[in-house]
Amino acid sequence: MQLIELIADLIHRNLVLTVALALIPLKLLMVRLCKDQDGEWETVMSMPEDLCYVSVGLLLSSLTAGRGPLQTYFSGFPHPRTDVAIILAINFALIVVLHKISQSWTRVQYMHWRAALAVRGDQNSADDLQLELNLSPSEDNVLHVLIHHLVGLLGSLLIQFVVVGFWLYRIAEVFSSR
Amino acid sequence: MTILVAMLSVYAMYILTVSVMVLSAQRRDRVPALFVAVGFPIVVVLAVVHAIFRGRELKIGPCPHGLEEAEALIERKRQVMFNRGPVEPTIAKTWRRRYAMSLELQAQKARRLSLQMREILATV
Repeated sequence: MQLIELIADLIHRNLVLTVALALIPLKLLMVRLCKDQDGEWETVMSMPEDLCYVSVGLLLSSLTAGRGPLQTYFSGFPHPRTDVAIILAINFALIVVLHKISQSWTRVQYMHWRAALAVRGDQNSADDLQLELNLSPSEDNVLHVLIHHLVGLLGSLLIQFVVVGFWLYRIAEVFSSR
Repeated sequence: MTILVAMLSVYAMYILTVSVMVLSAQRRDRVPALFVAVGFPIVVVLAVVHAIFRGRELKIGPCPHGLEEAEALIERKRQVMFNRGPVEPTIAKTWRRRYAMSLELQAQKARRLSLQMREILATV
């Protein structure tokens, strides 16, 4: 098998993941083209949630088709309709959970990280607030807080991506089982 | 093979997102921040493996002087920057509490050891 055929086979077998992978650079590119700097971070934060909507879209489109991959996959099961309904319910529950994580953890960590960057003089070097931190250990303290929030942000994003990735992997299995 | 592709895809999605985030927000120390962001999942996996196979208690040092003030300053800056309500800073408080707890545990261990030593010496 040639390399191009191997890649094509991999893409075909992991179509859902390929769509998801293509979505992120496309969305980032669109936001950049719109020059919406304020909305950029909101877009980045909602990326895992968007991937969940991709899987919902795929599941719903499969339902509307007469004999889609979802029906084919569950045809051997005793209660195919119930299984499909459970899959959809899990997906919606996942969206709610990811939204809650994003709202209550990721965004808070992001805002603190940005604030710590600003205090450290990354963005507004002539900030009055910095005058309050002219002692030598203060820079270290700000760095402590900055790293703490950066790691918290990365951790929450990683958890979301792992959950979404696992879900997309399962959906990809359903779609590639035709 | 498929699971490997899936894992690499998740990692690629994560790298794309965090790289854009770090590069757009950070003006200073971009390379170290990017290095931390990209290497974070690997560190997490290694830390989990390390914790499972060589589980040792973490040693907590004392909370640095002025951390609470720095945290309060960052919190005030956050409120100004994002126009959001206050969030109680917790890093310094948690750090102090955990340090106090670790000291308490060390003291407990020392107390237990001294009792054992006393028992051993009494039998000699």
